[in-house]
Amino acid sequence: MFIPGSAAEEFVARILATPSEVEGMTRFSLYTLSTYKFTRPMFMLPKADLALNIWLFRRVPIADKSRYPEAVAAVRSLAERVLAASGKIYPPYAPYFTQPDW
Amino acid sequence: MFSPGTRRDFLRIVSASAVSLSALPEWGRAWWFAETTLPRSKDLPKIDGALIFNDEARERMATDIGGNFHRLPVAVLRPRSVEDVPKVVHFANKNGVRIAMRGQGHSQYGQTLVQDGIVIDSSTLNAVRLKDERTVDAQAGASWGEVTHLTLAQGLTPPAMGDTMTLSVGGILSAGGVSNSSHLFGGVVDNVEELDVVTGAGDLLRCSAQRNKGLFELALAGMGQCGLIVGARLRLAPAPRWVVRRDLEYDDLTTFLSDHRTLAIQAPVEHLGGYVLPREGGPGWRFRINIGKFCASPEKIDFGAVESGLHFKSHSEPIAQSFSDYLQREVARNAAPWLR
Repeated sequence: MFIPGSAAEEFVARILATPSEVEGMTRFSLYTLSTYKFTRPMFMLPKADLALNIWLFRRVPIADKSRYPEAVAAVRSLAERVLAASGKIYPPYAPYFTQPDW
Repeated sequence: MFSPGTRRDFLRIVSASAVSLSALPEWGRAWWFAETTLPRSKDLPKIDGALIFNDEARERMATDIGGNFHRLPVAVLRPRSVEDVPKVVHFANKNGVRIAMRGQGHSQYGQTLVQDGIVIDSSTLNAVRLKDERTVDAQAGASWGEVTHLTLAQGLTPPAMGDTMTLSVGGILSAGGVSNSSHLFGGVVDNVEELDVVTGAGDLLRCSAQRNKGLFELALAGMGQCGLIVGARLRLAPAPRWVVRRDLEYDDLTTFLSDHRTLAIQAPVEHLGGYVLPREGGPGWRFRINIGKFCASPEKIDFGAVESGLHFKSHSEPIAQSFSDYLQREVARNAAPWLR
């Protein structure tokens, strides 16, 4: 996910303060990007000079299937917050991919 | 500069003027709504590769690395030539069958899967050929490792490749591609000279910023929704021999992000990463910036100027590795990323 630079600190801080969004975390990496370097129109980034690229990987144990819907709901909630912050989702890892989303 | 609000906005505007995409609405219907199954009849196209119907092959294409969905295709195309792809797209259009093209299946939520459709397994389209000192031609199923195996022997490398060498050229270019060097080189899709794309109408077209520009821009980071990338001409740059990296450690998010922004803007390093980590021995978080310089000789690297003005708490000793080893840094983790 890509967050406008001006919203990055608040966004990351909220994730770190939300147990359901970091439970099972296996990797949380961040890159700052200068958006002007990205020139292809289908590669959607926030309309801002800088964007924070966030990769948050979490794992739900396969044996505990009851936890899966909860984990997916947390991911969806996070994705909605990305969009509400004028951010963008990287399509291959988007937690949804329906025709209207596209 | 035109700045579309969504991918659909861009698609509407470009498709109005791009002749090569005149069949896109048909493609869209075939992709999303067709419910038919594939006829196993004499109507099957004559191809160099194979359309495979056995359960084992179909099952292998029924899940992606995310493991969240199981969507069983009716057949798997293993192309042996680029021309096989437009033939099967024609066939799919005629029979109302959906298609997905798949590299390494590195999607998380089923983006490379298609229930009752045809999965094009691009791994058999993996030829790589050095064109000249500026560019290399790679078919869609070639991995970035296969590309660099060829180019590094000539002292050359694509400047941007994503961080995982096992992924396919077509997959990364369809997704967009970001890496630890994107603060310098942009996305992987920003470093492409030319593409061979199969349109929804089943036409195989070459496109670039000068030729069929609309198709070129729709295919790069287009997730295969605007055409299937079957080959690419990638830009090359001189390859460094060494990469020297070190970690900068932080206790607080504000300082970490401030320094990360400074490094991204001033770009004094070729490699820039950042991590949130659990604080050792207690609750809370710590933060790490990983910086790296590309160089000809690791002994000459001095991070003093790079780190001047930054506010990290401590740093690690620098670690030098060959550029080819550096390129493999994420391969093991991404083999099963959710488990590491």
